[in-house]
Amino acid sequence: MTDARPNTTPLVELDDVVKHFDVRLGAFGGVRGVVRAVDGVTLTIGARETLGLVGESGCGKSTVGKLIARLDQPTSGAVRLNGTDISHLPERRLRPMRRDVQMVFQDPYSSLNPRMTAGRIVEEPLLEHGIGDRAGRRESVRALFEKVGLRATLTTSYPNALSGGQRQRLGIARALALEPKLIIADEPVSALDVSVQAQVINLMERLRNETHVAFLFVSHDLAVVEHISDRVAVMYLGQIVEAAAKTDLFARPTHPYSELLMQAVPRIDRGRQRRSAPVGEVPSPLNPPPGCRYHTRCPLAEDICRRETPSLRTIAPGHAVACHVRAP
Amino acid sequence: MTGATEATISASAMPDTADAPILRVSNLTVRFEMLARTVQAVSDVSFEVKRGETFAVVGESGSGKSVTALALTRLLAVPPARIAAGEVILDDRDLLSLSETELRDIRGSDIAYIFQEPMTSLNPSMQIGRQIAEAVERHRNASQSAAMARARELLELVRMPDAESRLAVYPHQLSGGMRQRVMIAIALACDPRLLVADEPTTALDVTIQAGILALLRDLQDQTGTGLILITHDLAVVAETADRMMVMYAGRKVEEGPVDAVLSSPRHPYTEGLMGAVPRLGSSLHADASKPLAEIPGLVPALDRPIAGCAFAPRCSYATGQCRSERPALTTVGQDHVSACFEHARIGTSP
Repeated sequence: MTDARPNTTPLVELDDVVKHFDVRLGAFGGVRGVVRAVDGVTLTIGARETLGLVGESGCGKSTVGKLIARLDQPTSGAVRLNGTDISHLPERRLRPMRRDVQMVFQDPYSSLNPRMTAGRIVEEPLLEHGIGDRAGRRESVRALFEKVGLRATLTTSYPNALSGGQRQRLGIARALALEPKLIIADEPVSALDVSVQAQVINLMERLRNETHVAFLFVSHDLAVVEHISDRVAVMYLGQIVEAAAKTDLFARPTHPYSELLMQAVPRIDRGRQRRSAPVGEVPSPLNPPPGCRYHTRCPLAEDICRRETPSLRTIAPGHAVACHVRAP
Repeated sequence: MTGATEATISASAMPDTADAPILRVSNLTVRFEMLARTVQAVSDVSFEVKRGETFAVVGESGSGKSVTALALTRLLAVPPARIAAGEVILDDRDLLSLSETELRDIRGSDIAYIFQEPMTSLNPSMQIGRQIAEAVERHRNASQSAAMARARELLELVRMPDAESRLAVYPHQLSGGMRQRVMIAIALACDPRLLVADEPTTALDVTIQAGILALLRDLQDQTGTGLILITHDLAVVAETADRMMVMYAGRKVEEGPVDAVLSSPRHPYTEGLMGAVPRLGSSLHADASKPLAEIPGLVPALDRPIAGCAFAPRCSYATGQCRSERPALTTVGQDHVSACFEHARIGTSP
């Protein structure tokens, strides 16, 4: 499970995936623009692997998750699930594959139907895929509740009667109902209080060890991603700038943006800081800089960085970096 | 006063050095009285903030930290809120007994607030230069042109790039981090003696957060203003604050110099919060695969009296005494207090 490089077909393969959104700008919607949310992403997720995807708002990490779940279709490139390109598969052929990929969202308040009981919410995916009879489904719901640490008496409760942590457990139970091969968790603990956050992280780790489900863990929180992932990919303005097994990444962050992120995270154990503020802000994905997208903020930028987009180059087994200076 | 060393250093450059507190809160108690129930959101909370000092108030949702901050200048809606007891002393005046008109002068000019979400605090249809200038005019008898000049200075002070041309932009044209800089500029418009920042960086990306925290620290060094930093993030506290108070279920459960509290917490809730957060670099340590330390259970409801210590049902150190008797704050170190019968055992068991 800790092996980040499976030798068979990976569970998920993204091959030069691009997703552009058309937007209208200006007061009357006259001007058109293109947001390059995802701009040439290539990555794999192995069976049983937890891949962490980190980056700041607008970097495209959530869009990557949606493309893998086929909640959205790429503008170009391939999204393969068990070797089959699902990016333009018709819904009829997609349906059986949907079972394999489930999502857990950030906001357990808005991602659960307020008019359904907790039990029904977890039963719903089983119904939708015509799995089991009534008694069988009831038994599955009971088992799923137990698995995520929800009391069985809560099956008749409505989401608004549950705490934030309980709702997130419910969202996880729903995601597990179809025994998926991959769960895409998009900021699953960001809306929770610290003490509850630890409960949910531990739950996800335990479930992963028990069920061998793979995870794509999308988050802005570097420390949480480091804790839970086997491998981590760092995104900046629609592109992956560095990807490695987590111990390699956190021991040797090589892309200047990975370094900046790690320096910016406040830490409980290094005392009062008088460090200077990081340089600049993320440019708009509507009009990303040419060449390396990070060059406008990068202390190492050279001429070539302003002209040519660096590609991901392998600098050590399983460790890839897109930087003209650090990985020439 | 070990907790004040930083403050003393920065204050020593100031004309009137004073270790005397600029704000003293005693026995603050706030209730929300609704038709069916009464929630005691803050119970008997006391603390002080000194000049140039950053005082962190730490807790999770429902701990009473934000209610405490709003109660200082009676910003809570009455009803349902009622400040049932306590004093908030600023310059020998009890803010809780002032008239609304007198308080309005205090807000902004003596105590200014910075909130989490700048977009909801800014007027979306007014240029930011005008919004800052209005804050200047409201509290100083400045002419319009003088106020606008001051607005530009303030934007430069908060390191807004290209300040002059930004005076004419609207809030939606700015990023979240830049909006928060505008909010800080408005808060600084009248040189407040005390800034209250309620989760000022929680909605921001980590690189932007680092910039805002660095800015707050620099401004404090320059102006000597006191800062109450309300946050759930102990790492932010570790890097920015001098002293801290941890709140649970509306009460202060631990208070002391940041270094002392974080290096040897004396309340199980503080210890629990510290263990519940993964730390950057954890994968490089031997115990990398260890699960996080959970605080089991949930925060208690505050609409009925709690027998004993409110944390006892979630506490691994709890004894029979904890469940029947409420622990008072006791001194556990220099300037360090904890409300825990078992404080000597913290860090020794499970």
